[in-house]
Amino acid sequence: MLASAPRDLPRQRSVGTDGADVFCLEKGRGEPVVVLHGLGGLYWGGFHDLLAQGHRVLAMELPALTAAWGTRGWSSNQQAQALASVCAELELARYNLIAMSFAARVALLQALDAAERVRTLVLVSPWLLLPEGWHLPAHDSRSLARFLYAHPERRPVPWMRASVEAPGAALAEIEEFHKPGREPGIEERLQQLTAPTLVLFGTNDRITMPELARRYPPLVRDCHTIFVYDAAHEVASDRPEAAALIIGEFVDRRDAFVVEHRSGLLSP
Amino acid sequence: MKLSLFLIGTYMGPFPHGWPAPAAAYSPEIAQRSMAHTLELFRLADELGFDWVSVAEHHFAPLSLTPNPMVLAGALTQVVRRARIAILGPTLPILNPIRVAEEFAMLDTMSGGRIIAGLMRGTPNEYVTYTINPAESRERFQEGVEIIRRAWTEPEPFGWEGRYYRYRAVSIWPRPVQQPHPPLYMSGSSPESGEYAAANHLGLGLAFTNVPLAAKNARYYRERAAAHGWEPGSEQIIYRAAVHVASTDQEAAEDLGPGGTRGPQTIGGLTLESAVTETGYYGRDLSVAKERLMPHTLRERVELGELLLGSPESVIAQAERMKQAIGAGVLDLSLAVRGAKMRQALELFGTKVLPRLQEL
Repeated sequence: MLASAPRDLPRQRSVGTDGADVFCLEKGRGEPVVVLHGLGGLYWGGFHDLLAQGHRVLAMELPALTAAWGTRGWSSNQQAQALASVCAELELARYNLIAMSFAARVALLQALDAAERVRTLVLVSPWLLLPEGWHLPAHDSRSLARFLYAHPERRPVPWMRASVEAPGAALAEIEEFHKPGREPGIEERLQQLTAPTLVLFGTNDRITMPELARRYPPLVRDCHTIFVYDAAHEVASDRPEAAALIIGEFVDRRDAFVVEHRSGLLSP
Repeated sequence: MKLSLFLIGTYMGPFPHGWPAPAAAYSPEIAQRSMAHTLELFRLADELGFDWVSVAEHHFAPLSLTPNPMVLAGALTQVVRRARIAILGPTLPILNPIRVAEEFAMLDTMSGGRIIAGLMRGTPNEYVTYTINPAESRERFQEGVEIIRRAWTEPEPFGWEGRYYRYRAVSIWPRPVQQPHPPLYMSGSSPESGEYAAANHLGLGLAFTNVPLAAKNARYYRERAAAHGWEPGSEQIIYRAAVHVASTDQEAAEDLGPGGTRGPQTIGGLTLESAVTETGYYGRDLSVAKERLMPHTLRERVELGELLLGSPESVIAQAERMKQAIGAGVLDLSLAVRGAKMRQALELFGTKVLPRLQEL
């Protein structure tokens, strides 16, 4: 389904790498920010436009999640390597990496493998450190949508691609792929992270409960966690202004982002 | 039933007109006597066996010398040794929620886990106090409640990006003694508040109202709680009323005299009340707003259950009717007389009425 396109469109491109073409939407100038989508699929919305006002935003489709919507045998390592190749192809010497939802594992591996290139890491509603017995609350897209968004009326329409709603079988496969224990060593890998890391959870998330946020600071050396109020799993859809602001400030200022720099002066 | 003594530290001197009240004639000596008197009454209530003592927040007027109820509660942790201390409560939308969370945690620590945490939206005039838009009251309140709960329960530092509040690194010390946190209440005189309290498992406080309205609010709260899959206990509903006990009904009425008739219950005046009402502050049901502005005779106040008045037996009967109508398990009582008469009234209530009501 196509919505009316925004006036200032992101640039579309496919970047070839081993075994896959990675589709990418790009807009803006400045510090590069690579955005890996999650369960809501690849889209360009208010969050991206706001972030692009001060940064070069590259929203990439995960290699394993093309129209086939299945893992197709791609491991997280392979996906991470493919994305690293794409970033090299785009001549991104240093970049900031944002991962939504289940893209977190790929982003983590990329941040470790390309530590000299990944300047900051942002994990939004990450599918890491999931509790025993975790599962998706629904396996069909329509039912799952109720859990993805606190504000479905704000849900961006993926105007650049055909529907990214995944068939039920694919969702079950994605869930199985990300179940706790499926790829061991996640905790050890988090402990190896050197990039300043920001972890965001929506207070209304019923897929990755916000109580999971507390698992990250003990493992990640340089870690900040933030709860985004009145957002569900798709934080950047529900609260695009808030997400763009926090992430933009973290990218720009890293650990110093905790210090308020906006003036509180009411009148000169 | 649990019985609570509610005092707001009224200034025991002349009241200037208007709000904010001019402080030109303010006497520090009178204020110190007033505060000492308040603390002594609370101490006496503890001695008499009250289950709770309660305090509230009001600003810029001699009606109450407790613009910060947390400060008074701090003193009470050392004066009241047994009773729970209920702060009913900070006007959350005009305050810093993290500060509120910290203060409650300090108080719970200082009191050995005796704090009852009420979070309120406050009387309309309070939005002038710190220049906060009353149209945003409910949204600020709801966001504030979530922040406070997180501050009390998150074991790791966290940030918050809300609509009205932003924090980047929070980790409060001390933490509450009571786990996961002190019992939480909010005022519930509107359907919107009743729904929110029910959805979020908060207790309900009903003040500045009367028994018929409170019964309606309590009924709605229970219905909504059931819809959300739980059942509130009776102690999760607080009803606030005034009380005066004397040897006979007639003596009690004479003690109050003309002061027993109540004018409009508005601290900031009718113009301010009207301006705040227009912002949607009261929600879709304006019954409470209208009730606050309606004057009542002494007799009407008793009939409506705003005031428990009479001999010990009369007051007990009135409280029983209140409990049957509302189902409130906590009766939060202010003394209807003022000044030196308060101690005698409290002693009579504490010895002749309190033990009987606690059996209800």
